[in-house]
Amino acid sequence: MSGILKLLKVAIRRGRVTLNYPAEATPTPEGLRGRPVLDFDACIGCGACAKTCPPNALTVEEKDKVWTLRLSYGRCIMCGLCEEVCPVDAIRFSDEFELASTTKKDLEVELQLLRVKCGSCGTYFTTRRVLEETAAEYSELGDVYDEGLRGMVSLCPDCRRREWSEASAEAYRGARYES
Amino acid sequence: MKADSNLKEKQERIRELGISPWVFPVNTGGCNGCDIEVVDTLTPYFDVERFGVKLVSSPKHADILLVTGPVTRQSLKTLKNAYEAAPDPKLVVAIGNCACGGGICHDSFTVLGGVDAVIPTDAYVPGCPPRPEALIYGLLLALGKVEQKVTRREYREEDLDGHTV
Repeated sequence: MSGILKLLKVAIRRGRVTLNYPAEATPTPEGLRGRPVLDFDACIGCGACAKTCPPNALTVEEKDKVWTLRLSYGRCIMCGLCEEVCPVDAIRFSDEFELASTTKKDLEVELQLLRVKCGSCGTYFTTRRVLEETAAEYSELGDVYDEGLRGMVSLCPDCRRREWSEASAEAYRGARYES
Repeated sequence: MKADSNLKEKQERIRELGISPWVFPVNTGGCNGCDIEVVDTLTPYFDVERFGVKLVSSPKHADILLVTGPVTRQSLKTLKNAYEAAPDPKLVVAIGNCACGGGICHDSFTVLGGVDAVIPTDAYVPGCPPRPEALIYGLLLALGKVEQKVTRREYREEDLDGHTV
């Protein structure tokens, strides 16, 4: 009997604790990682997020002219690794957690960016926005790189390697004949 | 087995019956994180019994199956049995990423995929694990009491001529 009275005392002192959830919004804790939000205009299409995503919620598909990034909330574990690796802060975690849906289609996000052709061999190799970002970084550096190196920005990795080795071989040959 | 589940019709039938939605939790091979959140919703703080939701120990008494975890080969038969034992109209709610589509275990050799790969699923509650509030929201969404908040988002970059890719 005294046990029940003790419990009753606690219950009266505490009052009502139940959240009136769907009617009122509940407070979310600081730093809660909810729905990952993609900033479509800021994303440059480097694909770092897809490489680091542990459950493959972010996937990249490269097909001719189009670079597609797909994000599925139905697989994202909100680990926050993509937010960490994104070089342009195009992905961040909001505090929305009400992601329930009746169809799986509604849980998906699709982003399509344009790819550019290599200046030498003509194959599609990266997105236009990545090239623009790289060019901007080079112009910030100023005179560290000469014109020849800056021109290599628009080449695909294979062509860049070939051009670079040809140029260095040329320089080596020239140096040998001069001496 | 993979018949299309007509959600609107089922919600209407449940409303006509005027019953309290009793739930039966099925763990098909998850890490137990989502099950802890299911228990959390029953505490006085979240108190899901306000909506008449009650945990039952047999699928024969259940109106809603709460499936947590990816469907493994070992649990496939149990899940199918539980689904067949539940009386109509029954709703299937996938709790957590693993039940939604395999989640972090999606490429394991023992995992057949999400719940929707095996039985018709009515609502998906993403999260790893979902918050108790998100779980209540998902349950109410399956019952048709709240509006869905997420929609498919798409973006296509325009090329220099103004054509979208």
